[in-house]
Amino acid sequence: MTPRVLVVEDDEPLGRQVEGTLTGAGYDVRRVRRGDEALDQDLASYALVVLDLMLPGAHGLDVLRAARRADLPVPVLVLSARADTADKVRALELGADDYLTKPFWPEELLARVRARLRRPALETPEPVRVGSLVIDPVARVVTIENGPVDLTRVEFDLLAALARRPGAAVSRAALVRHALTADPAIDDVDDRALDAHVSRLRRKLGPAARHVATVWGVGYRLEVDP
Amino acid sequence: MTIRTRLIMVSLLVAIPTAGGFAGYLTAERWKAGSSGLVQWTEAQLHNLLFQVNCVRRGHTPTETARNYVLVQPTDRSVLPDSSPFGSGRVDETSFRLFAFDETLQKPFPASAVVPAVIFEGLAADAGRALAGEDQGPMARLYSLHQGLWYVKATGLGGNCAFAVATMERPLPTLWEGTALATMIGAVFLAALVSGGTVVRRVRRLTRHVRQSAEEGYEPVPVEGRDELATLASAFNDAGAGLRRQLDEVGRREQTLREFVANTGHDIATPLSVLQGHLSALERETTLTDAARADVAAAIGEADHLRSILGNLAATAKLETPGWIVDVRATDLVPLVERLVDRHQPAARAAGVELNLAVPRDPVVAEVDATLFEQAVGNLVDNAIRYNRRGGHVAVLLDATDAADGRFAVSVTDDGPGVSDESLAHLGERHFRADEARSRRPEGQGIGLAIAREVADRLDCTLSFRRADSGGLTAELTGSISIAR
Repeated sequence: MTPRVLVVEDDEPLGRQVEGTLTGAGYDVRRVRRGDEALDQDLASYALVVLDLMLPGAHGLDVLRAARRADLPVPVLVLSARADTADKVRALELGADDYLTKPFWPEELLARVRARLRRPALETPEPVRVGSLVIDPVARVVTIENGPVDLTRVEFDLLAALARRPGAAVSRAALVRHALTADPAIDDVDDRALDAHVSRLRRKLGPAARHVATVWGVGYRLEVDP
Repeated sequence: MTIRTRLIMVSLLVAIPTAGGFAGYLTAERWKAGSSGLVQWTEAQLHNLLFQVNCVRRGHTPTETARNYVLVQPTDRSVLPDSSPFGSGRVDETSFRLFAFDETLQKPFPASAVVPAVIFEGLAADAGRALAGEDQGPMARLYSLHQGLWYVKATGLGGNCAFAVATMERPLPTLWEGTALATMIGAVFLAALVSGGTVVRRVRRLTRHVRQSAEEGYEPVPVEGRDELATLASAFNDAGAGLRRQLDEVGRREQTLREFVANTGHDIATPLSVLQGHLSALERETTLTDAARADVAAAIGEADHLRSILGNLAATAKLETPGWIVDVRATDLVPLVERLVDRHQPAARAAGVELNLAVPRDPVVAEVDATLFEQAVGNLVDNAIRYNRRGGHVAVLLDATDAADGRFAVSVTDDGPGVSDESLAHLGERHFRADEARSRRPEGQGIGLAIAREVADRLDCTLSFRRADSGGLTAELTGSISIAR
């Protein structure tokens, strides 16, 4: 089912654009221009509300309160034109889940919306699949096209650390902490040791090695869809 | 020199010469009277003696004593005249010293005092002339030597010669006069001290009030008495009132200006968002020519620059608000850093720079003002992208230590041209404007870094710069993380 998103924005060009951006990303968007119109909506029927604060009809904070009162509280992403902490803080205190300060790029909006609507799957014990590569953190087994890959403990820990957040870069320091040393106080393991382990890991992964990408200045990343 | 010292010095400078003048006048008067008395008295003694000598010659053989020793020291008070020869001055035996010699002037009378050489010579010459009968009248000399006044006379009479030498010592002020003069000096000194002290105390009190007033927004100071100091206090109050009016006026204008900046920023934010949206749509358009694509990329870069300037404008208005205290709250830095990296991706893409990010898996909670912190780190990212080359990289890393007194660190590393050692040493300084860096990095660097530094200061964070292994620059913002993680 396509998630329904309610956009409450009084500025016509910006509202149209937000609507376009979200529609383009595959969301079912309903847009209103006034606060009182937003209050008339069945807020519980939406997966997310994108809310401007300065609205005619009713203040954005009132809409926010209504959204929090709904039977199933609706996540609210506040669009704040003021680079003013107090405003945002009030909104967050009232239960807003996230905020975006104007001016913003459409992809910032999409990133925030996606982050809100993403299933909370961070600590999944389920195997992670990227392409033909499957990493099972519980069984500590890695397979490529159903064939098991023989990895050392450190190599598996490295891959598992990357697989915890597929697509997100993990810093070298974090990888060293998670995989190379049992003692978290020892941060100063030789950088070359990490690179050597990654290099061996890539050799063992064969064609699936492209999923372990180097990220300049940061560390490594499990590439989801290269 | 303080007023008190000056008063004491002036009073002494006046009182001492005045007293000295009085003393001088008194002694000079006594000196004048004394000298004429000295002459009269000595001559009277001389004539008296010569008369005795002549009487002796007429009838008697002059005694050795009478001939040879012409004057004796008047140790006996009866020798002295009853009435003072010195005007009103006091006369006693210590006022005079008489000297006597034999006729050859070789042998002084044993009891006589020593005669100074210059007087002795004059006396010898006069005596010689007197004995030779050349003396047609009384010869006398009044010598003023430093010990006192000397009167010398030789008189001839019928082949006899008599000498007289009398001396008067320089008179000193009497005890009574001395006491009176000392009292006068003391009185003047005391008067200066007492009146000066009162003035000094009041000046000090006024100074204290003025200082206090200047600290408390130029509230009026108390006006005491009706003299010049009171006028001074009133003048200060008038000046303070004028200043207060001007400060109020300036404050009102600043307030208006700040509101204007805030409202304008608000007004610009919405259309700029729309513009950014259109540019993003163009960027996604696949049918563009390469030239058009380059134009879109440039436009995205400029739009992002505008976005950055707008943010810095708001941050500056906030930082410059008088009495504003940093509004810190426990904030998870992970989504904050993710958000700001998302925000810079379009500009990075437009500049052909790869913008990478790594954040820890767990929340990193710190007490910060989210807007200002985001603007500070955003400025570091802006600089890293803007002054990079096409094909360059920028890496944003958020890391935190797990210890109870843990610290977080946000680092922004680029592989751009970097800065010179000299500029590097100064980048972290508060008021440094890297002229060299500016010439190569023409726009924005100054204000962006200045705001990052100011925010770091206000949030008790540390902003540092170092050369990256890549040859570019690493900027790092570190601070304490909250206990509640």
